Formats: sequence, C-alpha cells, structure tokens
Amino acid sequence: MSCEYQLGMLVMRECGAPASGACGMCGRQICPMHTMMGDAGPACPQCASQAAGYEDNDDTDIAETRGQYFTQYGGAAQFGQRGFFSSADSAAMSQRAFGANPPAKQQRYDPKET
Amino acid sequence: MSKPSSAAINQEADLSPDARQAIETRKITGAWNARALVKLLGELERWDLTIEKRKSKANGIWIGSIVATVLGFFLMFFVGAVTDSLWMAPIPFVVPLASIFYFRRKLNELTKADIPNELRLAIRPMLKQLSQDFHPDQKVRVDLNLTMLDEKQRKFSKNLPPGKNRSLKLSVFEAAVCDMRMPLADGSTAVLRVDNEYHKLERSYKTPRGKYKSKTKWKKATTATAILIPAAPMKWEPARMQKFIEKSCEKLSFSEKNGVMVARLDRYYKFKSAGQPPQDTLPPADIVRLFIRLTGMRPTAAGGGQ
Repeated sequence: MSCEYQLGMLVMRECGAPASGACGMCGRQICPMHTMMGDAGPACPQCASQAAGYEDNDDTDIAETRGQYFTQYGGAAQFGQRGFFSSADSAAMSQRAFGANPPAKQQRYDPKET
Repeated sequence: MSKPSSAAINQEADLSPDARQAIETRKITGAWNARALVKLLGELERWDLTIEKRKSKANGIWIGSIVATVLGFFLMFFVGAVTDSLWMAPIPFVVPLASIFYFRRKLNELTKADIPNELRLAIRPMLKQLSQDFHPDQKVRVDLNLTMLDEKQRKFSKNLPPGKNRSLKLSVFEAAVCDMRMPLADGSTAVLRVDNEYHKLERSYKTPRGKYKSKTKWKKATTATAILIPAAPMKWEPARMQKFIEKSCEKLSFSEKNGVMVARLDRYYKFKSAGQPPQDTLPPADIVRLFIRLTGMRPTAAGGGQ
C-alpha cells in the first residue's frame, strides 16, 4: 500500500511512499512522513489541520491553506462536480479527506493581536 | 547601487555566505533548489527585520534628539545663568544636536542596507505555500532585485503645470522586483513577475501666511504577473474561471510561445503614502490565487480538468 495523502496546491498528486498505517479520521493510507500524532491518534496532515490537539507543521499549514483557497472557488466538496480541478484535486478536497466529524479546531483568531 | 556598510553585515553574524553575497550584490540570480531558496529568503527576512527594528529605534532617538535640542537651547541660558560657566552652558544644547546628526546618518545607512519588503511579505510566503508543487529534480530560476529605490531607477522627471502651486514636479521610477521560473511537478512551468512603478509628486506652494512649503506624495503601482506554461500544447478552458477574474484589477490573456499556448493573469495594485515611498506590498495569498485560477483552466486533455 502506498501513501494516499495528496501533496501540492497547484499540482495535486498522491505522495506514493510506502504506507505504514491509516489515518484515524478518514481512513486514508499514510506514510510515516505524513503521519501526524495527536489527541485523536494518527492522522493525515489534511485531517490534522482540521482537528484540535495536533501540532502545526509545514504539511498541516499547506493542507489548511489549500482548503481555504479552494473554498473561495466553489467549496471543497464541489470541485469534482463543477470541474474546476482534476479528480486528484477533488479527492484531496472531498469530505472523506476532511473526516466525517473531526473534532473542532480552536479558533486561532485573536482580536487583540496587532 | 546602494550597498550596506560591511560593519552592518558583520553585526549580523548568523548570515550564511550566500545571504551575505546577496546583500552585498543586492540581487539573487541563477538556478536554485526551492528549499535552499526558501532558506536563503528566510535569512534575508531576518536581516530585513533586524534592519527595520534598528531603523525604528534610530528614528525614535532622532526625533527625541530634535525635541531635546529645542529644549536644550532654552536650558542653555538657564544653565549659563546658574553656573556662570561658558563651558557647561552649551552642553544641554550641543549634545542632542550632535545626536541629531549622528542618528540621521545612521538612518541613511540603515535605509541603504534595507531590502525590499516584497521578499519578506510576498515572495517567501508564496514559495512556502507552493513548496510541494515544485518539480523535485528541477531548479527554480530566479532574478530577484534587492535594491531599494534609488536615482538609477528614475525613468523620467518633468515639471507639470503648477496651477495654484509654486511648482509641481513628477518623477517616475521603475523597479523590477522579481522574475521567477518555477518548474512544477507535472512538467508545466509557473512564471512570476513583480514590477513596481513609483510616482513621486513634489509640490511647492505658498501658505496664506506667506511661507513657502513643500510636500511630497508617493504612489506605488505594483503589477504581479502569473504565467502558466503547459508541458505540452493544449487548449485552455477559461470559461470555468472567467467569473473568478476581478475585472477591475485583473487581466487574463493568452499568447502562443514556441507552439504552446501560454496563459497569463496580471493583477494590479496601487499604494499611496506621503513623504516616503509606500512600504506596502502585494499579499502572498493573491499570488497563489493567481496560479490556482490559471491551473483551474487546464482542460481534460492536459490532465488538469474533469
């Protein structure tokens, strides 16, 4: 089994490295490099970026930013249907990738921050 | 070319030889591994933040010295009357006066050592966000200009009809900040260009009280150009992204180069300030959005659409 985590922002493709386990939230096969450890067990960067109790790193940052960007252009779940991006893009952005009911992440917005 | 003093560079001991060279030559050129380029820009970001911090501190002391000089002028007579000494009396005035000149000179040095904010605020964050998209075996070709605005970038100056003013002078400066060719993982190439054009309007006028005054206003027009060159000839499908193009500040165009149709999206910005050139720059998210929309126009045949 190979890692199913989708890399990239413009050119999405699977990581493809040998998988060592599965994401506890979406069930996607993930390699050690894309296994994030946190409160809800091992998770892929996409799920970890949406869930609380996981540390931020470059992978989770990109996964989170990617969701924010793509939402502006039709919403994550609608990509495939509306044909904006490739099937790999829409797979990465599907509800499965986000997990069924991931624990809510704490809001980062700080009104006092300057 | 504005060069920082070597002492200023030596103070920043953490810089790598590449970063020192970039600051000395005021440019970054050639082919770079994307990760190495992000690291280098990280060092320059640290340099830029250090310079900004020092500038802010020097500016504060300089302004404080001006205030102290004015107060010191009056204090000089008081001290002279109390101590009856010709040597002691000028000290409250002369010390802050010397401080004005010293910190003015330091501010000028730091301004010369500074690098454009675009690198820290736009280019590096954009590279970090797109880091997974770059081709692992190919290098990013860059031509980054680290020169701050100077006289060599002046395109022209002309006197405008003064109207109510005593004189009105317009100077236009042009500065190409960045030209990057980024090979992507699917074989296509993303090109980013950022160009700045500065308009300096110097106005001299007479106040109702009869004094002559002058004011300077700056405008900065930034153009960000994103180009996507596909790996193989294909027909673009702009219809699906057309509604996401902001007509007021963006322009989508296609051109043929070497038998391949290339898509180009330009976005225009305007920044204004008084006295000093505007320090604002384009947000990195806008650059990423330009590329996302260009890649969203790829058709099925090119492996990009449905």
